[in-house]
Amino acid sequence: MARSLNTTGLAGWLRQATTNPVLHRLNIRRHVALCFALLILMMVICDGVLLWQLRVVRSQVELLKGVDGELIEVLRVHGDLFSFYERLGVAARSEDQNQLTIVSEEVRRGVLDEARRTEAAFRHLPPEVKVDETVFPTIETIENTLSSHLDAIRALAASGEWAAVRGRTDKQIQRLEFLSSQLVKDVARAVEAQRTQAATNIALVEHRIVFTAIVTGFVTLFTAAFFGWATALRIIELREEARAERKQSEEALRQAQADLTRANRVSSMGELTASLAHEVNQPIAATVTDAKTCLRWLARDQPDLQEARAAASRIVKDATHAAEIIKRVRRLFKKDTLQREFVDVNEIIREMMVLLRSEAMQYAVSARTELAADIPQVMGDRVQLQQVLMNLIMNSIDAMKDVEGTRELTIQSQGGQDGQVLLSVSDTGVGLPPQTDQIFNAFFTTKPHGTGLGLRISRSIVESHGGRLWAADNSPRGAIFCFTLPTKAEVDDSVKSEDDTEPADGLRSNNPGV
Amino acid sequence: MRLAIGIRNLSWPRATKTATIVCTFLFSLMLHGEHPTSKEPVTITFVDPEWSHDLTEHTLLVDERLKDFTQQTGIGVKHLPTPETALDQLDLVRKLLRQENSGPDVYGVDVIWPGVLSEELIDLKPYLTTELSSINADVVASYTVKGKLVALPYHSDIGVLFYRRDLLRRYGYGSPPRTWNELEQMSAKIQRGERARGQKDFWGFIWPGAAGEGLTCNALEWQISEGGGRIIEADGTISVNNPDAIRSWQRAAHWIGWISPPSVASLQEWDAINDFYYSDKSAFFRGWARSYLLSVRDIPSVRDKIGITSVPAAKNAQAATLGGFGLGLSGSSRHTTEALELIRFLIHREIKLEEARSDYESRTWPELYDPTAILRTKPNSADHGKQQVSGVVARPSTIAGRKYEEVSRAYIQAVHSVLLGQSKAPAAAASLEQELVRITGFKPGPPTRNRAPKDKSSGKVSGSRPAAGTSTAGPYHNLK
Repeated sequence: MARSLNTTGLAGWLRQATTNPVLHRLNIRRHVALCFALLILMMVICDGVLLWQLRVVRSQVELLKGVDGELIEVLRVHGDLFSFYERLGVAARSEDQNQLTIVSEEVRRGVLDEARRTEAAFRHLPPEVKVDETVFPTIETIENTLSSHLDAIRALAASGEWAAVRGRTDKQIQRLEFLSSQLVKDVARAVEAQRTQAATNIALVEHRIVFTAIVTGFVTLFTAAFFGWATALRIIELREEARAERKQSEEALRQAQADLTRANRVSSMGELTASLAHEVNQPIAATVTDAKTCLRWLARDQPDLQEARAAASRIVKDATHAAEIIKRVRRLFKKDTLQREFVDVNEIIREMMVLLRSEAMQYAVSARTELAADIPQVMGDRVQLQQVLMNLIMNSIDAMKDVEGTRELTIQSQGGQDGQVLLSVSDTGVGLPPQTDQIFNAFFTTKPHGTGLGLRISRSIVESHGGRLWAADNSPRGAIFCFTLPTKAEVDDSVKSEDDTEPADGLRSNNPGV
Repeated sequence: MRLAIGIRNLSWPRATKTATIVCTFLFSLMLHGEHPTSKEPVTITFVDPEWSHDLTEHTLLVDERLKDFTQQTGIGVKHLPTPETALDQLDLVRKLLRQENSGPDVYGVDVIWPGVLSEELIDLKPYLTTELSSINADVVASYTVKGKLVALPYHSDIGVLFYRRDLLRRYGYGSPPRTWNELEQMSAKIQRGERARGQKDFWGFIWPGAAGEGLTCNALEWQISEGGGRIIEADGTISVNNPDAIRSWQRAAHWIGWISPPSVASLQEWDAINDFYYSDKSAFFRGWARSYLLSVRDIPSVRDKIGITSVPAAKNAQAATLGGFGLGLSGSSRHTTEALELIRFLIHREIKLEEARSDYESRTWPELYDPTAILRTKPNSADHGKQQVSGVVARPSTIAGRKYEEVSRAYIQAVHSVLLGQSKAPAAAASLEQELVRITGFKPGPPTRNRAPKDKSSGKVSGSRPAAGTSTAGPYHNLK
């Protein structure tokens, strides 16, 4: 049970490991496979070498055992034969036929026994032992020759030829003894050679094993190092990819934002069209009046050049004024290229007032400005800042459209704390809706035809300038929208810090507006 | 970024390459030390029936020859003995040949055994044609079984009679005995004389009478000289049961206790030689020519004391048994090339030695003769003023083939029982005849003495040697 649990646990782990999203993202399966294959190959090779070497050692041990067996066997045969010779010699010298018969019978049995044992011993030698091919035939020959002698000796003893018996035991058997001693020497030499060879082989095995261990360790290290290196490379690459991707999406976002901003501007302008037309019409109408006046002054019998000149210069002034308005409107329509420059917020306010005066008047809103002198310039995009003001002012005008009583729009500028400039647009309109915290969200609107983007975009623009935009209730009624902008000194810092901070911050804050 | 990708792209083949290198290295490491074992010098084993059972000069001679061979060729030779008697030799050789592996390579094969061992030994004819041309074709034929040269004739030998020159002189004999009767008379006289001189255990004639192949050779000589045939004739007639053979056995049995010691029936050749050479206990000894030629003759004191002559004749003829051995090559030998080299080397040495010897002999001891000279091909070697050249007879091993061992054992058993007095000669001959018929399936019949002698060109020593023939045809002069 525990085993199956273990296996399922292992299988699960494996599955998890292989489908690990991190691994998947890293895309290092190929390397993992290569490294594992290499390590397994290494292990197999190493094990193969070890097994092979074990086999070599075992065969060498067998060989040594067999070789010793061979030597022992030969020594035993030699010893036994020697004792046979001795006993035969003793029996021959005793000249006792019975004793000789007994001894020779014993020796014959002994020799037969010996022959059988020798054969068995040599048959059971391990195949690794390179038995000297002559050993066994030699022993066989000695044994056969000895038993042949025994026949002769018994026959001789039976007929009382003791001299001949002694002749055989002394001379012939001596030769056999010499032969078996020679055999022992030869075998001992061969055994020694085989032992030396075995020792050499075992030393070689030792070298091989040590070397294999070192090589295996080296290859394992190499594999691990390779794996780590490849993985690190892959991670770096992934980070690069992510960065590029983010840059791209940021770019797209910025573009979308710019387009949106512009669309907002254009739509705002569209709402202003009537007022703007009126605004432009006024100077043009003035121009026409002045031109008529001028003509009148000139058409008199005695043209009053003084008056005519005055009228003409008014024409110039009004025409210039109209051209100025058109220029500003055009600028607001222009496609965005973010241009940061030092701008005078008072001037921006004044410009907007020029554009929106007719709109305000249309709804009987009295607009006034309370501009603080000597406020420092701010770093920013003139058009975007105008857009913020335009959004806020038009919101205020909208809020006061249906309000009874005084309709007052006040635009203030003042030097705030920490060297910031504080601008505020206050009205006496309907005031903030109950969901105050939602008014800056995208698509939140209280107007029947609102897009719900104006405040959202305004806040984005202010924040992208390093400032803050908030709303509060005005007293006794209406709302006040304030925003801060950092001044020159502060902009230096914030610009710097903006470069340092990830562009993602901007992305994040703008994100909901998209 | 680009650099990192570059490295990563590189890393794959590099890793593979490194892994390959490491693996190759490991495998090469594995193979390290498996160096091929250096070729060991080949050692071949030579089972030599002439491996002397005592340390005589002959032993040194053979050892030196083998040492020369090792020096010249780098092939080691293990020199192994065989038991003394041909039958025990056969037992051993058969045992060794039947071992599945690691048996000896070269065997000395007695002239009587090719028929028995023909299957276990290799046909040497294809390998040794040049050597064969300088060896007597008749001798070669006795090692050939059904066209297969089982062994290459190496040492040929014939039976001879050794005698004591000093004793013959002492008792007034000018020449060695030519017939068994002369031998008996001389033996009896010398024995009497010597015993009178105080040597109580002196005997006139000793011979290897132990139950072994040596007895076959002796008894064959006895019965052929009496006209008793060759046990089994060349045409396959079992002729052993005939009065002449029976008489010859009876004569030999009569020697025991008269001119030969009672123990003669237990003496093997080695014992008889010892008795004769070293203990001066007899006047005559039936031995083999080679032992004299190889060692005894070159010692001046022995040469003056001991002479050799042909085996005595009887009424019919005189015969000397062909002995010796050839070199056979085991069919299970793992060093055939080296073994053949050894055989070639030994044969060349032998031929050279024979040539040198015959030159040396004719210059140095013209009065001595070498009975084995008739076995050489050179016809002139038999003509060096040596009149005493015996007729050579081969044992019926060729005709009996694989059965020869049994034939010989039966024959030995029969003759030995007659010698020991355990059975009467006619009964022994009769039962031997039945036994041989049973063994061989041949038909009994009379010996070939009455048949016309065969032409010498008919080949084999055995075949061309009508045992009882009176003919002097061929290089083998039968002595009257």
